Amino acid sequence: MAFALVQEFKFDRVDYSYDRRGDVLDISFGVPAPAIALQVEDWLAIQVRLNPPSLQGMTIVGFKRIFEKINRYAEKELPRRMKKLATVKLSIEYDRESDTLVMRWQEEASGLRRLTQRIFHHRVEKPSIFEPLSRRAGFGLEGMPADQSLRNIYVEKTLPSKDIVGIKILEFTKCGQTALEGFLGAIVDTLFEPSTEHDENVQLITNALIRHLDWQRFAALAT
Amino acid sequence: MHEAIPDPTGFQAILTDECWQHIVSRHPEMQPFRQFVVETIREPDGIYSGKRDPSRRIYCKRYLQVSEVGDTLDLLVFVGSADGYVATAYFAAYSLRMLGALIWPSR
Repeated sequence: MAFALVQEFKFDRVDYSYDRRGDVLDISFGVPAPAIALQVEDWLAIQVRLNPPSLQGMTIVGFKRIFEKINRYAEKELPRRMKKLATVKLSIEYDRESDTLVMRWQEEASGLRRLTQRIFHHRVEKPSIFEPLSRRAGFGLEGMPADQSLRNIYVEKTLPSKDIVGIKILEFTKCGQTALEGFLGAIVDTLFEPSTEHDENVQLITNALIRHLDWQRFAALAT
Repeated sequence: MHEAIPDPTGFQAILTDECWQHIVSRHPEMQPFRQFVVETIREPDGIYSGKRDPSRRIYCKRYLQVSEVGDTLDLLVFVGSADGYVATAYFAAYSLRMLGALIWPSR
């Protein structure tokens, strides 16, 4: 029997704390709660809540030292960035029949646009297409396949604007962990290894994430 | 309380009550484990310097059982090498990438 599991995350309860002496930024979605970290990079951890298991937040160690290289106003602009993050809605949908995980994000409308939408119950779904996240093929060092971790990841783009609005991972039970690792790794590399050649879709998805945080100078580094 | 903790390289890390209060306010699961943090600095499995921020020392020690948190977790303690202060500490279940350059033990 087919079924789909859908979970929505709203970040409207974004709580954050920046410790200037330790240069540590802790972001939590809701009140801080017991959690275990998934260490993405030595400076970046995703915190997963213990009970019930859910996304708790993230920790960035060396926030100012790392991010001021990209945006000298990183600390000053933090409150505005967090406010912006609070407008993002992330939905995660798993379909067992196709063994596919789809993640979509969108910024909720605010002000007059939101009011108009409420009054007229008007929400238009834009048509979209899926493209492979990475087009690179071939083999890397020591004969190991290059970018195999990205093989099952597709990005969803709206038409005609081609804005990235989500990602899809195929064969999720078999490849999901590797795919997510590859995905996060590709984003970090795109941000911080400007000399390396990156796939267009990885760049676009990184830029989409940056746009939500509004750090446009990241994009300049990625090109 | 101002606790100076020597690590195996001779470096002294500093853990103050203020640091600790900040850590547990953001990572409440750490509340019973101040002694684990001290132990991780004193007798780590490894000490690393940060990849993006080389001025950061990262202490790592594996704990097979952490009461009411989980099994087989790495305690990561982040210390500023300039001032020695403990910046943060938490348990990690999994690391996607290496924790920077290994300082200790030397290869």
